[in-house]
Amino acid sequence: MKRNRFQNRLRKDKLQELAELFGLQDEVNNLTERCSFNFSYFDCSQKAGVSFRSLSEVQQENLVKSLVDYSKNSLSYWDGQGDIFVVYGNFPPKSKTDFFHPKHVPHDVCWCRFRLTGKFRLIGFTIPKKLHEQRHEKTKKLYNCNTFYVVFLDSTHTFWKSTKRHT
Amino acid sequence: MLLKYGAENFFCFKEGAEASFELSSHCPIAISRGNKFSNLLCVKGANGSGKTNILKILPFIGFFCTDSFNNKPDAPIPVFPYFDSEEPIKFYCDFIIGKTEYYYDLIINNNKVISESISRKRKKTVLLLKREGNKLKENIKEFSKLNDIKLRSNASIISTANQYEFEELKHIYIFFSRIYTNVGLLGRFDNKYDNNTSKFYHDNEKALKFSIEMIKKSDLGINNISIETRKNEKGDEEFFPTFEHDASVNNNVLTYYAQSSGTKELYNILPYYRVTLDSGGVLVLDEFDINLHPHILPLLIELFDDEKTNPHNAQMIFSTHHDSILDYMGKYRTIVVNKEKSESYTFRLDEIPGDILRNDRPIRAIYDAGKVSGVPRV
Repeated sequence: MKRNRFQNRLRKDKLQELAELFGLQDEVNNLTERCSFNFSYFDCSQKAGVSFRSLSEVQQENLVKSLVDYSKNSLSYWDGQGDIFVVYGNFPPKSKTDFFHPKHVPHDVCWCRFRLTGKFRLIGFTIPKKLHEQRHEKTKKLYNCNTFYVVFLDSTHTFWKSTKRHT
Repeated sequence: MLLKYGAENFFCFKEGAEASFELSSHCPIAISRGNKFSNLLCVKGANGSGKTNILKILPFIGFFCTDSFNNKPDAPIPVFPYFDSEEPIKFYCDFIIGKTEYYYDLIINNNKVISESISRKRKKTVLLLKREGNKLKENIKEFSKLNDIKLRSNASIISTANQYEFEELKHIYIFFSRIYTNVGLLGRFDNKYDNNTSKFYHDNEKALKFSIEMIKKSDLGINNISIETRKNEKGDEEFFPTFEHDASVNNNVLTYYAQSSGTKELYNILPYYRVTLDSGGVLVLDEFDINLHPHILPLLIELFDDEKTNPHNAQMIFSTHHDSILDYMGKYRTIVVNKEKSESYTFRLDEIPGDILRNDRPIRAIYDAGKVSGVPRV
């Protein structure tokens, strides 16, 4: 017989509190799918780009909010969400961009961008998919295709100016 | 076989507290061994959380059902509510005898029994008897002799019926009389030398042999124990042990008082284990690990987890501060006692929803880190 146990308010509250805990291996945890943003290749030296310092307080706040939002899912996820994330592949030809390929960025990366508010775009690159989980020859570390390497902050939407596809 | 027990408004438990040996269907076969009930239950918690008090409930129920009639008619019932609460103190105990489940309920207030009842379940649940105050309100025909019994406000009907040699409740009386413990209402009993322990060994060769084997297994450097007798000043027979040590000397025998704390602890407590295992009873031990090396503890626990050493399904509930026990016991056999603002509460670790404690992973590290509470916040 399942007898009515004596009620205990503290016990009930504690079990509810513990129910909200979850670990790295928990089913509800998608930590391994979440993309990362890397700013080590950032370049604000070009005329077409802007620096973070030049952003207004509101623009800075919007940028951080967008980064928080975008980092909750994988880059593949955002690739399927309309205009939010666009993969260009190659660096745009000179005729279609006010930017030039920075020397400190590897030539064979995959260029792409995240849409921010208004005309703002976050320009950067990812590791090409063919290198996914391949090891770098020297460091022997794995490439991560789920990291977005930020290179430019494009405030006037001039990284790729022409076609509808490359908005 | 004990299923579960609980109390409300008892010592530090303002609201309900419960200890359950019932195993859920999720429990791995390695733990349950195909049974619906465990033979072991471990109580964990910080100092002062109420570990001892959750243990005290069962010996109190056992005492009340078996010995309360031996109290003087006007003696108070030796039980304490939550601080100065005047609310009733409630108890329950569910158990199995043979293939029948029994449910015992008791409510006490102001040192008097308010109500006491026993039900049983075979195909369906039947209320066998119920008293309110000193009046028997209901009883089945089988128990009609109970109508002639004069109930006392400070004595259980089970204890009273036993005094009247009323056989129909004898099996329930025997169940409660097989609760053995090292804890009373005032706390853990002192581990002092007791002549009765040595007399018990003197009269029970099997128990002495068992204790010698266990002490030898525990690597305490002792090869044998003998029980000697002598007459004291009054002319009464006294019993005392001598311990033969593993030493290459002419006289390798020492007295009880020359033994290590661990040897003394085992000498005094092992008869409880032996009697419980032999009778299929319930052993309630507070801080069962005191004076013992952690490596010895599994030897004691495993006695209850092996059909060869525990053929009568004896059970043990124990408290301990040793976290190493946790991975052996697992979440299905571990109760945590917590206290918040002087109110204690309990839950079994498998009641925690979600995946924080998984069947396939050790739980000790998670418990030790305080993630499921039960450790002091120092």
